[in-house]
Amino acid sequence: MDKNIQATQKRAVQYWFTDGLVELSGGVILLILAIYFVITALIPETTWGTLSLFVTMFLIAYAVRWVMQRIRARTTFPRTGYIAPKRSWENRRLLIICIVFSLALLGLMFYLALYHHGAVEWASALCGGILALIFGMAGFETGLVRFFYLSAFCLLLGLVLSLGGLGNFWGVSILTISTSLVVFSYGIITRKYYLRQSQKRGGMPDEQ
Amino acid sequence: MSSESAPFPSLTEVDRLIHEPSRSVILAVLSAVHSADFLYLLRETSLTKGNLTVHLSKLEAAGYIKIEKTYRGKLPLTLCSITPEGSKAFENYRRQLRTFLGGK
Repeated sequence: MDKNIQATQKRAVQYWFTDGLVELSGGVILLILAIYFVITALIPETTWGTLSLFVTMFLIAYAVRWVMQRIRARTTFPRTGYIAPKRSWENRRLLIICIVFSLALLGLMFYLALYHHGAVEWASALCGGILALIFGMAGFETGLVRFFYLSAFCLLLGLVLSLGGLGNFWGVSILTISTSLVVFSYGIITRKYYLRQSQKRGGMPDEQ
Repeated sequence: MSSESAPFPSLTEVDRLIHEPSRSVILAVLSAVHSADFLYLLRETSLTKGNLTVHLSKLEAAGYIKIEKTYRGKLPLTLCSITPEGSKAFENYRRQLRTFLGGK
C-alpha cells in the first residue's frame, strides 16, 4: 500500500511536466541566456556593464517563467486539472539546490566577466556541468528519463566544445543555444501530445 | 487473548479517517504538491463528483486539508491543500502502516 502511495505522489510531481510548458519556458530562458553570452562575446565592456546585462537577463527569465505559469493555470485547469508544485521554501532540498546553483552561476559570470575571453578555456565544460546537474536533479526528483538524456547531452557537448578549443563565450553560447533548441523541441512534442490527448472542458462547474 | 500478547502492532490504532482508499489517495496527492484542484483529484481518485465532495468535506472537517473556492475566468476553481496537521497525521498513518506490514 505504501508503494501505491509513493506512486500516487510521483504521478502528482510528474503531472507538472505533462503539458510541456516547463520545457518550453526552460527553452526560452536558455535562449535568453545564450543571447546574453553572445552579447558578452561581441561587445567588450566593463564589469558593471556585464553585471547589469546579466541582471536584466535574469529578470526577463523570471518574467518568462511567470507568464508560463499563468498560461499553465489557464490551459491545464480546464483540461485535466491543475496542481501547484511545492514552493521552494516548502522543499528544503530544492531550496538548497537553487541557492547553490545560483551562487555557482553568479561565480561563473563574475569569473568570465573579470578574466574575459581566452582566459577560461573550460567555461563550456563548466556551464555544461551546471546544466547537467540541473537536468539530473530534475530527473531524480521526477523520475522522468528525458531529463537524464538532457543531462548527458549538456555534459558531453560542454566537454566536446572545451576540448575543441571553444571553451570561451562562443562555446558557452553554442552550448546554451543547442540546449535551448533541444529543450524547446522536447516542449513542443510534449505539448502537442498533451493537447491531442486532453479535451478542453466546457463551461460546467467543477463540482455538485 | 490480551492485546499485550499480540505479536505485531494492531491496525485498529490507525486513523480511520485516512484509512479509506479514496481519502488516502487524496492525502497522498496533496502531500506531494502545494495544492491541487478538484478536477485533478477527480481524475486521480476516479470518484464521482458527489463522492469526492463528501470525502473532501470530511477531511476538511477534521482539519487535514484546506479548501479554497475561487474562479479562473468564468470557471469555478476549487483548490485543495494539506494542512500541517494533515501532513503530520498522514505521515503518522504511513509509519503505522509500514510497522504493521513489517517494514521500517
